[in-house]
Amino acid sequence: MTLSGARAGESARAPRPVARRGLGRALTGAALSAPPVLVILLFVGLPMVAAVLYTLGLTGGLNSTIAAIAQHQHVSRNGAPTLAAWHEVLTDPQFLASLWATVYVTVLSTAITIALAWFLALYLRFHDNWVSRAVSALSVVPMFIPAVIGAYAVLTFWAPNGFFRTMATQLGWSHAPTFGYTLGGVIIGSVWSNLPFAVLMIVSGLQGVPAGLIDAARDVDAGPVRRFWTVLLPLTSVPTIIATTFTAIGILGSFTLPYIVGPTGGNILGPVMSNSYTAFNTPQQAQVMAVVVFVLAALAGIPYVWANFRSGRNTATPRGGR
Amino acid sequence: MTPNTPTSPPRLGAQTALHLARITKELGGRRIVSELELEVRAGELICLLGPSGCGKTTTLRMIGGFLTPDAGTIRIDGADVTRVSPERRPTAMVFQNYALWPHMTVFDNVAFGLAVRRVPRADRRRRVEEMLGMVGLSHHANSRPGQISGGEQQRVALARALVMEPRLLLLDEPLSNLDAKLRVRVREEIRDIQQRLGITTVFVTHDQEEALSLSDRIAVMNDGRIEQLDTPDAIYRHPSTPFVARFVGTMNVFEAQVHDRPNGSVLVLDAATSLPLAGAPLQTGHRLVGIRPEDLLLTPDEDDTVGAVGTVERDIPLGHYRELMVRVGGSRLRAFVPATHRLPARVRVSAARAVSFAPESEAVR
Amino acid sequence: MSRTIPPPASTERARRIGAAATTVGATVLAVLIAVFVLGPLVWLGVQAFAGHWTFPRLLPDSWTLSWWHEVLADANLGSSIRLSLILSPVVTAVSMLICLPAAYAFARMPFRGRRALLIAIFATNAFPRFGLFIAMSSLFYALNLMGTAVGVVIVQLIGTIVFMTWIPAAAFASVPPSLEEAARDAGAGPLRVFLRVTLPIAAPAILVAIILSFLAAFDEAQGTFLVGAPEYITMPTEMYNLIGHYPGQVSAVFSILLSIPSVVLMLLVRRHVLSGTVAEGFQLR
Repeated sequence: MTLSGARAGESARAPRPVARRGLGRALTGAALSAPPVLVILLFVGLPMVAAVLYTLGLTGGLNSTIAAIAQHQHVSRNGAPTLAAWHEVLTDPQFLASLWATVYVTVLSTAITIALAWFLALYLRFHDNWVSRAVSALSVVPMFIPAVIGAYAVLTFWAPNGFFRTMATQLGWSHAPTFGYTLGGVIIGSVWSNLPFAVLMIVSGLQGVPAGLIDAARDVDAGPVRRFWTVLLPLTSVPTIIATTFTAIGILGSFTLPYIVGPTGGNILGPVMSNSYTAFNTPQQAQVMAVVVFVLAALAGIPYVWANFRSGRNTATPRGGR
Repeated sequence: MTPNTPTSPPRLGAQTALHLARITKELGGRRIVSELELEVRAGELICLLGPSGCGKTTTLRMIGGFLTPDAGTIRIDGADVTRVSPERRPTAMVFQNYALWPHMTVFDNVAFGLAVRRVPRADRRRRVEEMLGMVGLSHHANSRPGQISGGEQQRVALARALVMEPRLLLLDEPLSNLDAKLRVRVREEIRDIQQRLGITTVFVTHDQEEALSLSDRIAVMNDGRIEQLDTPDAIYRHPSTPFVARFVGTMNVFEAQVHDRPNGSVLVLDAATSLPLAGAPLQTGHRLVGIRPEDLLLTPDEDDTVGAVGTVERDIPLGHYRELMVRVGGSRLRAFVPATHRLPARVRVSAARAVSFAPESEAVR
Repeated sequence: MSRTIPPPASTERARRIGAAATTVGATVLAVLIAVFVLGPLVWLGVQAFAGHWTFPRLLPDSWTLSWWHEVLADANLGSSIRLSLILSPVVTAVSMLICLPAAYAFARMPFRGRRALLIAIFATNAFPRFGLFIAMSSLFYALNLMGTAVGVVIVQLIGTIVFMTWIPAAAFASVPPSLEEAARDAGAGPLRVFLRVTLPIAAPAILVAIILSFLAAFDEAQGTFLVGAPEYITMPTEMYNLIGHYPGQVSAVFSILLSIPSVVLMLLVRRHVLSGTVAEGFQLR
């Protein structure tokens, strides 16, 4: 982009080249987009690579500081990577229990989140009244609440003396369950904190479905269930996939919420890896877990990338004249 | 369909305001505009008319500076502007979707260009108000584009372009988003303002009626080239290619053997069918012949023995005239007759005038 | 309607009753979701003013402001509040500086690998932060960033980049090119076109991105603690210390204080968030 200052006087119309085209513009684009990419490369990409190398027993370079203080390390001999750390972690029953807990919590929380978000989106699409508007406004609130506050609020709400048990006892159910410090609590908290994004995505997608298409389906006597499966869901598939992926990735990597709400033992991997470093001083094993979580997140991300490329192909139109 | 004759004759011999010399442009690996030549005279309104994809908008965008030609030069008032950026060209464009800035008032939309040129505030205010008065929108000066109707938005876009007093006004299908009634009214307003200001104008449209009613001259475009550049009347009466004949107005086009007769040409469609032509004779031989529906003469069969025998297959009333589909030999011809002209099913058909082209010209193009 | 035979009155009535029941059921469920979302925050808010509270009473036995005195008098807590309110805007500003030109480039300057870069920016976000921080410590020691404000800014910056590139990029891309061309046509140079046309039209989305970035920076605790402690203790890091070490009411008071900036900002952009700005931002085009 060539930047020009303002010119004085109406007659100043000296010929000047059109903003550089083609290669020049592409170069400018690449240059402008470089700063965030470089920050990410340096402070995320590089540590990521270092983390992977460290799990393979390569303790030089960026890993030297951590390697100097770590215990129970598996160091490579004569430079050849070793899978010993991976072997240790992957055969550790506590890790495996935690891995399954992570998968279980992620799948269940994501399913509940998306189901609730779809319900709210449908409710908003077809009931425009003050209740629906108020609920929609409220449903995004957790997005703006710091994670640690949200987690703490969820914990106290579902604690032994929290609102849920209080209410239950008032209504005569004296043995209502407690969700504080359980995986159930982690699921509740995950749904709570991820609901806003899912609602935003699906509401926006659903609002974009033209009323005419729904009426056309109704006109051929398609019932609500059929309208949902044959019209609404297919036309909202991309936002739904995006919401699902982001929710799943968010829960997989979450730390604050499970740390505060979850159980001390058998928690999901986020707090467990942190514990492995801070409590047991075994950062190498923690990094193995981090890589495992990243792999899970990458798997969860595949539908997202696929959906985006598919929708990108459908909507991409070359700019310029005809 | 009767084309209006232009209200003022093109000022022949006037100075050339815009000259496109062998302009070529490729987009996405496709050649959109191909060695196009065009000269526009000062004060003239010229229409680029053609089907979608013919390169008319691309040509307009190159004139405006939004695209740079791959080859060729663009001159405005003799100065080469081929590589001059849009903000430095003495052109002003009215976009198809109007492109009004939604976050500015109508007044600010019109005043923007003057502010960029550092026109003093008082002067700016006067010129904007004058321009809004001219397009009849003074009462909407403080409205936002989203608050006014499509026709009003269109006029704001026009005012925004005209207030810059451009050497060249460019309009990209400016009426295509308006409903039919409004389109005719705004089209007349545009023509009126253009003639009052005497501003050289290039107008892109795919609507032949629009082009015929507005233009001093029409450039009919096809496949990145200009097929014919002429006055609306000449384009309608004397199309120089079959494409122009088919694209502008309605035209019956068919192949026939043309023979000379003492009282004019005869068009032989097949062994049993010959259509007499009263007007200027055509070149003889195997030809591609075009006849306007209003140039087909129909008389009841019992009254007349001249002309080919035809059968009226369909009769569609269209207000002040009727459209007939007439079967003549193996062909179906379209004819326009006055609404009061009642005809039996069997008619005699002849032609008042016709144009003809070499038959292979179709394949060549 | 294509239906030719009108349904008998009785089925029509049954249908109407069914529809009404569905509406009532849906409304009840929607209200329950609202309680699920808002309840924990209200419950926490009440605690900040609770004196003694016996289970299972719905409201505290006594009310008090003493927890507020305790929190506001504590120098540590006060300094963490100040630090957070300085750091988060700085991080947001740096993020804008770095990311907004990039967002414009992603939207308007097609270059090879544009999409791959956008995805990479997001994908790196999926690596658990904690794993990054372990490896980052070496880097920070090497660059002398450990225990410095710059280090803390960088750690917080990482989490803002996705918001600050993706949402504005989508917003810039959705500004019709003809609006920019019209401004060029009126004589404005590229910079003026950007400032007078593109930016104002994209402004609501950029505001949303700024606020989400602010919150992301404000919220970051793990990395801030690893890099900044003991010098730089922000509000969320302080909150971790509070939970479990102080009476619940102190945490509740602190939570309210910690939520004030977020809630103010949320009220500011609520309309734009709901109008689909965020949703647009996460669909690559």
